[in-house]
Amino acid sequence: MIRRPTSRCSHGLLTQCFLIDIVPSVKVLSLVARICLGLTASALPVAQFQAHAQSTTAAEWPTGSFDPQRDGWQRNETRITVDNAKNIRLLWKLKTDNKPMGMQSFREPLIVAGVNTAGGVKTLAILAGSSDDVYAVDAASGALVWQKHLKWASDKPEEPGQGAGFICNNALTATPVVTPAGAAQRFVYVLGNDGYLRTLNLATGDETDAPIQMLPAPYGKAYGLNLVNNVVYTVSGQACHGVPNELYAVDLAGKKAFNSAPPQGGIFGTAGPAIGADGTIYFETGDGAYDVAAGKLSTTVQAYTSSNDNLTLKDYYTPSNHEWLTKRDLDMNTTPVVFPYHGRDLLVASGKEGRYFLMDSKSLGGPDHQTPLYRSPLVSNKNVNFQTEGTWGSFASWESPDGTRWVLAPIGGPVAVDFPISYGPTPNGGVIALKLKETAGKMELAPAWLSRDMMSAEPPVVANGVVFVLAAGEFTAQADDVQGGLFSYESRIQHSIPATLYALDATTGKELYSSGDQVTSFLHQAGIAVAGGRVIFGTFDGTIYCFGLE
Amino acid sequence: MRTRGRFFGDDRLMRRMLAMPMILGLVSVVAHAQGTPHGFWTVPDADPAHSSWQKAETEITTETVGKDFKFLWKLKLGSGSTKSSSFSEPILFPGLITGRGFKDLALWADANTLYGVDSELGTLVWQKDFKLAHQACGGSNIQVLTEAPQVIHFGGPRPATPRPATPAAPLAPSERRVGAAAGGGYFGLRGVYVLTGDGYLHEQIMATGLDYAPPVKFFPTPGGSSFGLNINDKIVYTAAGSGCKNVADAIWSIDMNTPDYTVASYKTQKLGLAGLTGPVIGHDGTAYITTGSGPDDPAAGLYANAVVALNAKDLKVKDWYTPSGAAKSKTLNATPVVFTLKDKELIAAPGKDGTLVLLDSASLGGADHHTALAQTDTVARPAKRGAWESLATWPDKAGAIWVFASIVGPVALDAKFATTNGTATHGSIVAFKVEDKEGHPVLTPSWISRDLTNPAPPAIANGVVFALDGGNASTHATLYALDAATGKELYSSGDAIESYTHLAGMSVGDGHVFFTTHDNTLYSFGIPLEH
Repeated sequence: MIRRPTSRCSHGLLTQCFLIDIVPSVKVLSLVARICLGLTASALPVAQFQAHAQSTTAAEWPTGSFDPQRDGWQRNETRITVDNAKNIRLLWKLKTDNKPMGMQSFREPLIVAGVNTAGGVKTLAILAGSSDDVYAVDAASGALVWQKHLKWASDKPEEPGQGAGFICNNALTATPVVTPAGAAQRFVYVLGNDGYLRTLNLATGDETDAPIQMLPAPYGKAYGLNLVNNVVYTVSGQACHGVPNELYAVDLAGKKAFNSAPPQGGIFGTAGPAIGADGTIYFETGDGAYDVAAGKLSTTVQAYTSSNDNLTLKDYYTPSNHEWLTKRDLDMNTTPVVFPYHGRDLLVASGKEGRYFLMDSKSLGGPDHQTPLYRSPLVSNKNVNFQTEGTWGSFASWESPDGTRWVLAPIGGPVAVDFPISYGPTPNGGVIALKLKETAGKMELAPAWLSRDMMSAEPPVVANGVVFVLAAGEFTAQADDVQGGLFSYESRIQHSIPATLYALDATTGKELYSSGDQVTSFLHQAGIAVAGGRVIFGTFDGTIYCFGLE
Repeated sequence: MRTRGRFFGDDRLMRRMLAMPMILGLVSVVAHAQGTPHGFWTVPDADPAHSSWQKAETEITTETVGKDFKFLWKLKLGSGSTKSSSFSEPILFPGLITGRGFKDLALWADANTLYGVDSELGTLVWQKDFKLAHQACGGSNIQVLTEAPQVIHFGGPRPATPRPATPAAPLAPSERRVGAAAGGGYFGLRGVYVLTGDGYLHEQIMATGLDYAPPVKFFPTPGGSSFGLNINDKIVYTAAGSGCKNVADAIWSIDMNTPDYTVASYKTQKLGLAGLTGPVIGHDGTAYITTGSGPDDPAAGLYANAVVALNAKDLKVKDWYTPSGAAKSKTLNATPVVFTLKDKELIAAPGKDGTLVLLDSASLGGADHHTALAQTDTVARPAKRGAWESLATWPDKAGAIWVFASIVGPVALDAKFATTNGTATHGSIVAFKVEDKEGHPVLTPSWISRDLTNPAPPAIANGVVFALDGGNASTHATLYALDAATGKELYSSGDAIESYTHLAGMSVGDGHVFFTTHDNTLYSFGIPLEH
């Protein structure tokens, strides 16, 4: 059946998109439509899309944290519900030959539906491994469909072995991104350790274009790729191998790379930059120099616009205690989450400190750049511990049927405030849920529930009223008070314990499911993808797991 | 409120980790690192030369101390005692990485317990109780110091240091040695050296207060009253001088470089030791002390009312200065201070009859050991034994050297100072400027502070002199900030301090001033930082 275009369809060369149903969950552009529009498979540029939240009904997870806004909210889940989550089981697991680098093994999986492989149309789970290997797995069966090793493209030498320490570990660290649904052709974009962006054929993993240099040097430790309006964005985190901490972009049409300046404090939200409905790019910076005149904005939420291959600082919010944050290494180190509210985008940001900031995209910090809509009290990390206890990674945010806006965050230790619903102390961390409340024009993020204790909770995701979260099991301590020095990554690996997948009721935090001891390895900032009743993630030992309901 | 940003590099931990191979491969201090925490005060009187000058201060200035400086917090540590004699001030170690996060520590001890306090938050991080079979006589507190941190030039080239194939197995605490680093480079275990009343030198892990290694014997018999720990090149020095019967009055040293922790001493017999902050260490490791009244015994190397230079390793007399007629002279009860003037190492010290003298470290008293480079007029009548007087130095931005002295009692009537700040009958801080007169350095009297009761040793930071009026059993202590150039009062704590201090000093670092009152309350004043 031919249908009219969805609201997300393009404004470029395509004037209309015609979608046909192949199977209920898969829609493709009809051949007739393509011919009428004068489009060919090879010449069709990647379709341009406004940066809206995913409105496709396909069971996919095409980018880190589900969408460019990084809300981790799988809107299209119908199979798993609050009532049947208790029946979740291990559907399959696949042991790969992925070679970890430091503590890093896999990043967040992507799930792409309707891929026309040699073996038929499949839903693929795509995972990028730390040693420049990309795996595509049949999400239904767990069979490996293809595996590709990214060939080194830089003229700078490839370093043997792992990097130095647990920060600059020479691992591939940026979750790839897939062309949004609805495009005539879709690809998966992967940023290799050499700093080059690859375009891979979804069905085969073959590179379809020459790699494009995105970072100035290899091993730059980039984070989650984001793709909006035919531009791929990333941020680099920790000045590894001299790569400046900046926002980087590649214009896919012109094959041109460009970046922000000057370098900032570390930018290491694991989901990379978030992008709002109007295309504004957001990220948080960590400790570093603070000099507004020089453009050095450490411990700050920054907003950039992208136009004509230029990135321009549009706005920023710096907490008034930013000196303290830098002094105690309490980086603002998450990827902010963006969501719509009464006609404009709001953002929530956080970091190691354990506070949460609600900002209006129209003016992040007000006239003085230090006044957000709401700055929470200390919710976690009352011990002022840079290593673990605040929030790391990214968030999830969803709107429940009653119109309540929720924001979920991982924490690495006990809370500093009371939660109306909780399930005991969280000495090792867990997930917190905050509700957006507006009273007499004043907004706040009110504590709603605190999950059970979890060892190193990763950023949660939400699907159909169920929160999925991985207790990574990672040993996150850095300073060794007994022997001195920092724990080596080998030692941290030794001290880590197997991960656990939890499913929680998204409105109460009540535990609905636990994977128990079925997962046999820990994971480090690996992330979860949820689609079509399947919950997929990869662990340190190279095993890819799929839990869910058939 | 502070408004200036502070540069810690792109990622604080990352930058320090990148420096690790260089730290492991090099021994020499290269340059001051951009991004290094500010505000170390690792030994009493700030440094081995006893300048009492916080060199890295940026927050406190003559402008900010007048408008932003305030009482920040206080913390009661233990029960306290009217007899508590700390003879020193809290040691400051900022930016320590620990398993519980970065901490800025203030370390202080009473007679039995060492406390590690978060100097920014005013919270107790840890405490270490020493179960001592013997207490120090005279009620002196446990003495504490640390080694200065290694300074790293982050921008410098880093040699490629390969990771060892098999890292050495870590030592158990019982196998470690006091003074031997655990390894781990910049992030290695930092130690706090502690001399307890039973005569043992301990090393505690700064992050936790736990024992780093088994303690070593320092005093031959327990029960000495020690004061004024100092350290240089892994040799720890102290003075014992309260006439305690178990431990001879002497300067003592323990060499942590030697397998058997060689102990040396310079026993002063019946000769007292002046000052309460122990030996001062010059640039070449020479230890300088001031002796008090008593009989000379040149054959034994004993000189009354003298400045004596001792060899670093064996504490043998190397040189000395005595004023003419010194046997009956009364000097200020202060230890010397060492400073550099035009590449020459000079010493400011108490002279005869309440004067101050300038000495050349290369030849303290000239050929006859009685000739100082310069001598002031009488500054004050020397105080009774037990009072605490001291010296401090500071180079101003123009390069001029200032010498400050805390004195007990009134300034001598005929002492001519350019500026006075009211009548000072109980005590004061006096300031001298080292000037050149016909090719020779002289101490030119500059100003006298306001009146101070039992003044603590002055501490200087960025053009501000901190003066602590210690009060007494009838009056509380008061903290003042003075303009280092004029002595003008810029700040007073008013009634913020509830009790008096007893032979306690001040430390300054990172916009804060710390001291303890006699009841074991640790106070912090400073420029507030929003947390």
